[in-house]
Amino acid sequence: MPRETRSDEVLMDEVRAGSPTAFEALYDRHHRRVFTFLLRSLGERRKAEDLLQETFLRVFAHREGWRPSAAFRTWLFTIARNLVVDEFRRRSGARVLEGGELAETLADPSATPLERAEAGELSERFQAAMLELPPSHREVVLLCRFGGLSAEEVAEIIGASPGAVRVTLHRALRRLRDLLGEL
Amino acid sequence: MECDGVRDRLLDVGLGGAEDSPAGDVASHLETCADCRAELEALRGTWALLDRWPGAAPPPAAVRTRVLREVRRRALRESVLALRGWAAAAQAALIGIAASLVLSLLVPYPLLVAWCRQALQGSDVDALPYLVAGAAYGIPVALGVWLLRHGTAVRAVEAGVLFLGILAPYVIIQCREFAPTLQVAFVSGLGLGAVLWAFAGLWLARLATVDQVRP
Repeated sequence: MPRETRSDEVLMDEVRAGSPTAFEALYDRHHRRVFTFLLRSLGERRKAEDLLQETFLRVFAHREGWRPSAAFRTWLFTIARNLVVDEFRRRSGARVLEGGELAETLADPSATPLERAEAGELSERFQAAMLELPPSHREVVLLCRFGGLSAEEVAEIIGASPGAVRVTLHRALRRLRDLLGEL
Repeated sequence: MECDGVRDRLLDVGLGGAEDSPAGDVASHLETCADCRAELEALRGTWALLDRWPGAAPPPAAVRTRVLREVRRRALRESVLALRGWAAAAQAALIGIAASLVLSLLVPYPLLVAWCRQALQGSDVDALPYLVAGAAYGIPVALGVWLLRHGTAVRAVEAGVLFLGILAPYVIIQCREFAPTLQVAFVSGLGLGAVLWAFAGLWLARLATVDQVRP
C-alpha cells in the first residue's frame, strides 16, 4: 500500500469535502498515539477503545467546525483529552489497571508466565507512579510522552504557555524519577 | 546565569531527540555547569524510562472497522437529509407554482402589468411596472414556504430558485407580446419576488411557531 504523504490539513480538507478515504488515512496515521494516550490516562483498555472510537467519530461529526488554520493533531488530542476529563468526572477517581484487564493488555502469545508477571508488576509500578502526580502534571506527561506532542501543542490543548508546559513537565519528570527509582 | 534560573528551563533544550540542538543562554550555562548537565541527563533518563512501560498493544482492528463503518453510515445519512431538504424546497416551489398559475388565470399578466403601470404612472416603455407585476406573481411562494413550517433560509432560497426555474419558461411564452427588455424586467421581477416572498413566508412560519409556544 503506498504511504500516505498528504498532510493532516490537506486530508482534513478532503474529509470536509466528504472523502471517506481521507478520513481513513487520518485514522490510520493517528489512532495508535491517541489510543496510547487514552490507555495510559484511563488505565482501562476497553474504555480506551470506546473513547478512541468516540474521538474519531467526533472528528467526523465536527469536521465543519475545524479551522484550517489550526493544526489537526492539536484539535484531535483536544477532543481526546476532553473525553478523558469527562470520563474522570463520571468516576469517583482514577482507576488502576486490574488483574483481568492487565492480562488482556499484555496478551502476547510468546510471553512466558514469568515475563507476563514481570510486565504486570512493571506496569503497575508505572501506573502507581503516574497516579502520584497531580492530574495537571500527569496530563502533560501523557500528552507529551505518549501523544508525541510538542510543548507548544500541549500548551494550546490545555490553555497554558509553552514555557509553563515545560516547567510542569520538568517537575513531573523529577517526581517520576523519585518514584520509579532505578528500574 | 544562575542554576536556579536554568533548572525550570532545562527542557528548553529538549529531551534528546536528534533535532534538539542546544542553543541560547541555557545551553551556554550547561557547558559550564556539571550539576545542571547531570539534572538534564537525569530528566532524559526518566523520559526514556517511560518507554519501558509495558502493555500498550495497539487497539484491535475491530475498532477501526466500527469507526469507519459508522462514519460511512453518517455520511450517507447526511446526503439523504440534504436530498430531503431539496425535496422540501421543491414541494414549497410546486405549491407556489400551482397557486401562481391559478393567479395568472384569474389576473392575466398583461392585466396586472396595466394595473401596475397605472398605479406607478409609468409609460408603455417603463420597466418598473413589469418588474413589480412579475414580483406580484411570486407571492404564492410565500404560501409554499409558510407550509414548510420548519424551513430554513437556505430552503427558502432554494424554493424561490426552483419556483423561478420551473415557471420561467411558461411565463416567457405567456409574455411573448411584451418587448424583450420588458420580458426581462417581468421575469426578473418574478425571480426577485420569488426569493423575497419566500423569506416572507419563512418569517410568517416562524411567527406562527413563536405564537404556538407562547404561554
